[in-house]
Amino acid sequence: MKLGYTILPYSWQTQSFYDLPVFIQGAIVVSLLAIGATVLVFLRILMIRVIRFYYRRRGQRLRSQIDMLIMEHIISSEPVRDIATIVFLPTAAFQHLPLHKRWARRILVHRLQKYRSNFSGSVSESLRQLYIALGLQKDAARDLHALSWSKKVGALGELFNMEIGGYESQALHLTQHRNRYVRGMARCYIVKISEDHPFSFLDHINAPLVSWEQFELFKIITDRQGLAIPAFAKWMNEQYHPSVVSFSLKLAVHFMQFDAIPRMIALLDSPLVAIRAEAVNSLGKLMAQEAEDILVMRYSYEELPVQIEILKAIGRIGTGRYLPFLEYIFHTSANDFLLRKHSAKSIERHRFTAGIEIEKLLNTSAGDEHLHLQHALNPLIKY
Amino acid sequence: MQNITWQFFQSLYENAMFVYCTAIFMLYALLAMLSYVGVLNYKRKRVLRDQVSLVASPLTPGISVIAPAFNEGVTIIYNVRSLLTLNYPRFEVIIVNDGSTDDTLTKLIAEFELVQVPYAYYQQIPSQPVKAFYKSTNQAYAKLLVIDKINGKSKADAVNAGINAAHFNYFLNTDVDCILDPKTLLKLIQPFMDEEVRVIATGATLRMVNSCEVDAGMITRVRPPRELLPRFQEVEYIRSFVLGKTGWSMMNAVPNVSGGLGLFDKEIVIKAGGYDPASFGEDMDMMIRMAAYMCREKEPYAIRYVPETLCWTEGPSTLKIYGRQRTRWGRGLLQIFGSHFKILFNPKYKRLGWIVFPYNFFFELLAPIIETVGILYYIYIVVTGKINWEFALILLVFIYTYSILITTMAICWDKITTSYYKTWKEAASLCLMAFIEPLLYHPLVVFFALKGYCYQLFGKKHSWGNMLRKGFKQQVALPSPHK
Amino acid sequence: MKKILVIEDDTLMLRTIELILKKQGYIVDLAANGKDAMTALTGNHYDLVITDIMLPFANGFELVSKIKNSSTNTNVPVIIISAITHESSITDGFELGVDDYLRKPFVPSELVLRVNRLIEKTAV
Repeated sequence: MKLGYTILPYSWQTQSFYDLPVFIQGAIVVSLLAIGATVLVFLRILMIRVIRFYYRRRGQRLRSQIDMLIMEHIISSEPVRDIATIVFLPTAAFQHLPLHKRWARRILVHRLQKYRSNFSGSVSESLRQLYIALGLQKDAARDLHALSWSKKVGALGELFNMEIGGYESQALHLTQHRNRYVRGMARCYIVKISEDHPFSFLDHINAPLVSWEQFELFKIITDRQGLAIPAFAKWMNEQYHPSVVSFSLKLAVHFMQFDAIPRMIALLDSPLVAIRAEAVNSLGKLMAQEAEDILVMRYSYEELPVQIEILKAIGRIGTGRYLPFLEYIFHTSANDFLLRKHSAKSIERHRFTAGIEIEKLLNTSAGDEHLHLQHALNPLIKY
Repeated sequence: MQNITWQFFQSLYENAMFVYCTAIFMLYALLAMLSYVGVLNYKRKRVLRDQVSLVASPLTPGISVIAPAFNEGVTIIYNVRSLLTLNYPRFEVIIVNDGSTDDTLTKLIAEFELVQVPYAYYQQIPSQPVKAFYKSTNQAYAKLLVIDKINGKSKADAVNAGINAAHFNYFLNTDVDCILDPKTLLKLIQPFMDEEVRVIATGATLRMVNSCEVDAGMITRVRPPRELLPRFQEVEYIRSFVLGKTGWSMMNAVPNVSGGLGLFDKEIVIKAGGYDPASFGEDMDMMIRMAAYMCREKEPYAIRYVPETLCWTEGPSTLKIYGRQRTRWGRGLLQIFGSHFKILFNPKYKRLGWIVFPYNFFFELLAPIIETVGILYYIYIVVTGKINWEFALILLVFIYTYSILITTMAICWDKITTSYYKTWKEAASLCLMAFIEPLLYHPLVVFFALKGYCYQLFGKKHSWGNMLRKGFKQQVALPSPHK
Repeated sequence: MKKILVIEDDTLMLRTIELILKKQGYIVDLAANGKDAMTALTGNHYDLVITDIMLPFANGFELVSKIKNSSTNTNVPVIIISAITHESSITDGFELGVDDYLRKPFVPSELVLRVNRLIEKTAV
């Protein structure tokens, strides 16, 4: 093979490409590839810009149309009445939208979800009925079987956001999917929609329930109306994944399940520091007076994170019986900043019941102790 | 005989160079591919992970935002106000006044109705003593804490003081003159919440604020820098963040989270000993020590990168200040290898010892030296007439075209997540940089890195951290269009 | 006619609230960020302010404190509408003198009822 005659130096014209040293051959090939690839990348940049521009223009027009329709037919005709009785079917007006096109349906669905994230009650219910009446769930139902995980998640998310029932069995199946995001969204769907067993998923969790998933599930569970809330004490058990235990502790606190207190106390024997600390924290938030003695008794054997939680809990429970204990810790923990800080804060929590005593403590203390008390008592400092 | 030995070394050198170049090019190709996957993954997940969940959840963890300020009187009020308007349900803003000699503190006190408060300060990591703590009497500024400390001549010292005073388990390390995206905290905390392994730090892309339109501490319109030097830096940052760090993030081998913007797990930072005030590259030094700590504790960890621009910072626009900054970086890099050399190829440190350190040693630390030696060698063979001009030309074209490709890809990947520039012209002006950068800008990078190494090796012991920051300030204090 | 200022950075939300309130016969002014809100508040008297917390330029709490310390709008009732459910954020709001706190998503008719009640209360 001879190299080109026009652009290359004269001496090469006499040489064959194959006679060149290997590294020069490599360099030539890679350079040519790099030039080709650079051109492709530039085209890609160009394409991204063009496509974005086009999509934006196309979407804008439709979006403002949709907004007008929703304002007119749903928001401004919102009656103050019982959600259960709403039958909403102004679909004729919406039929004029180019809904035979997938992109238009997508934008509409997106818009409906956005309105629903801002408004609840009858507006939200009307939007849901509009969605069903226009048959928009068909796309999502199809995407449940899509190959790409992100499409599956998108579809589940849409059905979840629009509260469309009827796909429980598919969703249940997807809770075992190998992709974490699919599993997570399927769980969300079940918890929000399922009538019979919204909480059964907690039994089968063996990979950690990461914080994000906990946030989402917590929100769904606490927002869902008419849901029969189970006793979360059931999952406060060694046999469940620690993240499940921790999640059920948070839920039990939110729903003020005082019946869970004995289980929480039992968790104090858990070998995991994090679980013990969280159990103490929950006892404090539930103001479990019956736990006070046990917490104080355990204090000296515990590790630092749990000790801090015990001090906080005593402050939250706030019966005043253990104010001397807090004062004792406060005085004796000169070498441990956090213990002193949290005992001071918990002492401060007694200011309404033991104001005089705290005042006395403040006046008699000096140096570091005084500073800690001042810090805790200063209303400008929140933390 | 001498001639034969010389020829032997010459061919050895040339072969070594060939291997080195091939390795670096293959590595970049790998990073380009990985970062592409990373960016696409991020884009897909961004749709799924709606930040509303974080805003609305009562369980969202709190964050302490720490921003040291040294003689920032001109812009301090706007900058603090913009930090206070970050979108996040639970955070505090800690401004560390690092012994400013101007009116930074008085301005803060007046604007935010501050009063001195008694504050129990936990000196867990070393820093210069704190003189006073200030909180606002106005409930609207309850999130703000100002601490006034003795100047420690380094950002590290000031951040350490902030960490000591911080309440929450996560802290954001930023500069008071950086402009943050309102969603910064929401986006940076997400990887911490969304991974099964413990995430110890997250970072995001930084960009130049130089020619952006800024109104009261908020970016209202993004523009690439008009001046050449900052524009080169913009391209360099995009390449290093979007292509480099995103790629490393896919391998869980992020070498560094920039000092301009990073969210950290406070516990690990403290256990690793906090920032080192004597370090010239305190951000990378901190990251290395955090990762090393996790390795020693045998705890799995991750450092993640968000391929989106969340922070805009002023890039030096004069050669003098730019040179100072880069010399310092060069010094810092060499210093890190001086103090952590034992990590290199140490099996105990896994990825850190086998990926992060070797890469940074061979392709970051040694690259300027190798390049310089290469140029000297070129000159030598030109002078002695041993050069094969055709081959030399081919190799130069090869390096040039490849570097253009890598930069163009970085610009493209960056566009995939968000279009930052409004007009075609702006986007094109940045792409153009890919062609002239290797010729004009790259020599500067090499030169100042070498200068830094020399300073580090041959004395120049006195610390001049604050001189650098003053330099920045003088530049900001000039009536520039955006401040 | 009673005048209401609505401060919210989400245009969709802003326009819907405007529509809801206009239907009730209120005059509605809109501000999309903290800065516009400040200008609106210095020049005009309002009978009620509805604000979000997370806003550009100045957050909702700062606006509330400005309102409560201003000369023209000192006694104006304020409703906060926010997605934030953190207890501390709600208590912060009430400590600043906010009159009502509405969580997103909310029922529009509920907003109307609360607005009517607050306006009647201050009118007396």
